[in-house]
Amino acid sequence: MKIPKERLEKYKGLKRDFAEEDYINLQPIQRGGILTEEAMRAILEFGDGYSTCDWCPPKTARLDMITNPPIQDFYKDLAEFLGMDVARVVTRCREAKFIAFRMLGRPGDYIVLDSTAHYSSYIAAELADMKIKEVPNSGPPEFRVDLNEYATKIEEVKKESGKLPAAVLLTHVDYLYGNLNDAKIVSKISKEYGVPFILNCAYTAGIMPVDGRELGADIITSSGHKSWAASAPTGILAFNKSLEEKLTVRSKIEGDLTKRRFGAKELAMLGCTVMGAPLITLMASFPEVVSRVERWGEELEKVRYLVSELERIEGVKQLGIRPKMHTLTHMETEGFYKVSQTHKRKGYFLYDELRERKIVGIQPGLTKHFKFNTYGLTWDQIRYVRDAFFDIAKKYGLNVC
Amino acid sequence: MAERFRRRAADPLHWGSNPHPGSIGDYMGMSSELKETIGELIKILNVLRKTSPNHQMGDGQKEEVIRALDSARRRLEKLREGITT
Ligand SMILES: Cc1ncc(COP(=O)(O)O)c(C=O)c1O
Repeated sequence: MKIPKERLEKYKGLKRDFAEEDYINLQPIQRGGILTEEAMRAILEFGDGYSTCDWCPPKTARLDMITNPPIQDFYKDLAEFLGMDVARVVTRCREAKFIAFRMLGRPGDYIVLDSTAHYSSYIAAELADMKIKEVPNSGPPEFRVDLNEYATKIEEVKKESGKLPAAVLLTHVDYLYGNLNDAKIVSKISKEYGVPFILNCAYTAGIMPVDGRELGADIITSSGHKSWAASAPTGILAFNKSLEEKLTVRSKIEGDLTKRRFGAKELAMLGCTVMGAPLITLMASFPEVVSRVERWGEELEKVRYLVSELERIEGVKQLGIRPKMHTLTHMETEGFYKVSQTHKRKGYFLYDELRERKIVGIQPGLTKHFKFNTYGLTWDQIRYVRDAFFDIAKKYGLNVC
Repeated sequence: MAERFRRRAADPLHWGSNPHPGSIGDYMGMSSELKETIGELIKILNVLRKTSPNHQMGDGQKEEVIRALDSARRRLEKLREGITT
């Protein structure tokens, strides 16, 4: 089919409305994925399709065997950085979770997970044909996951299905409140039951120090475009030697006519995973990622400062565990909500006011609650955000004490 | 002979080392110089990102931007000369 030329016009000169150079973007999922200078430069070299595969070794044609660019070394360094034995780059964190579920269990098995887990954890289980059992949280205002309840839920699964769950999953920092969960508690419980422990580090690994060995994780999943200064789609699946055989099992299929076999290919990776531009940005940003996790303390200082400043506004209160242990923050904002009730733009007024001040990333329409992420903002930018909120509050007659 | 040079030029191990003026090697030099120039401009974009939205730069940042602009200009001028001479 031929597509008319005028319909193709819109694909020319694609531009983003909210370029990082022009706006402060507080969108929780975007702050940790902003590219480094090295990653931007690397796209010039490796933006073309399979450009990372120029030197793919013909005898072991697999992404993790490529030494130029140094993909093989990168996989090793990545595993070491996370305190794990083996690492693979996959398309997204959700794919890493799916692979882990699929390769560790069988259809009908259970996954025990926290009740603040991301939807993609649920869907990964669904696609693997598994059931889930949720570990409760305390509800408002802290939404603290009751980590000791993992044992109760494992027992429930045992009782209901007659066997242990295929795995337990803990979201290291949840996407709703930015609560940091103590992985060691869940690791201890899963070891007692002999169930593999998956730590979902989508919001942690790549921006704060994460040592899988110290935390007792059997598998770490993470998201390159969320937390590793990489382009989408990139995800990380890192695991211990004890699970290597299960997770990297090779293809066994054989063509019925041709008798072709693909024994070098890792089944769950469908042979090769992410190649080209996304992988190269993850690699190019790696040196900066290794050093930036050491500056996590300052990131916490910045978010705590901003939270304490914003709480000076009438009706503004941070939800989730205090003090903040992560830069993703959920605020309850009764004051702004009251304003929205009489404003002609209703809930959109806050978004409009912020956008006018070149701040984006707060979900349009929300005033009662909203989330933001300060990761990587400079102190000047933090103060700019604070001043913008104060300015808007005062404009609408809210008290700033 | 010509065939040998063509093969040598096509071999990634010899990229950038072809000594013959006007040959593929020169244009490879040009492309890497162009990428270096874009790299200098990317440095500036990154300063803009760190100072958005009002771009109030500190002295160090201003110097960084000026250095990158000067370097980019020098590289572009060299490239221009290479094309016209
Ligand atoms: C906790 C958590 N895990 C996973 C994801 C999804 O990551 P990806 O897009 O890499 O699959 C998200 C996205 O918000 C998340 O919050």
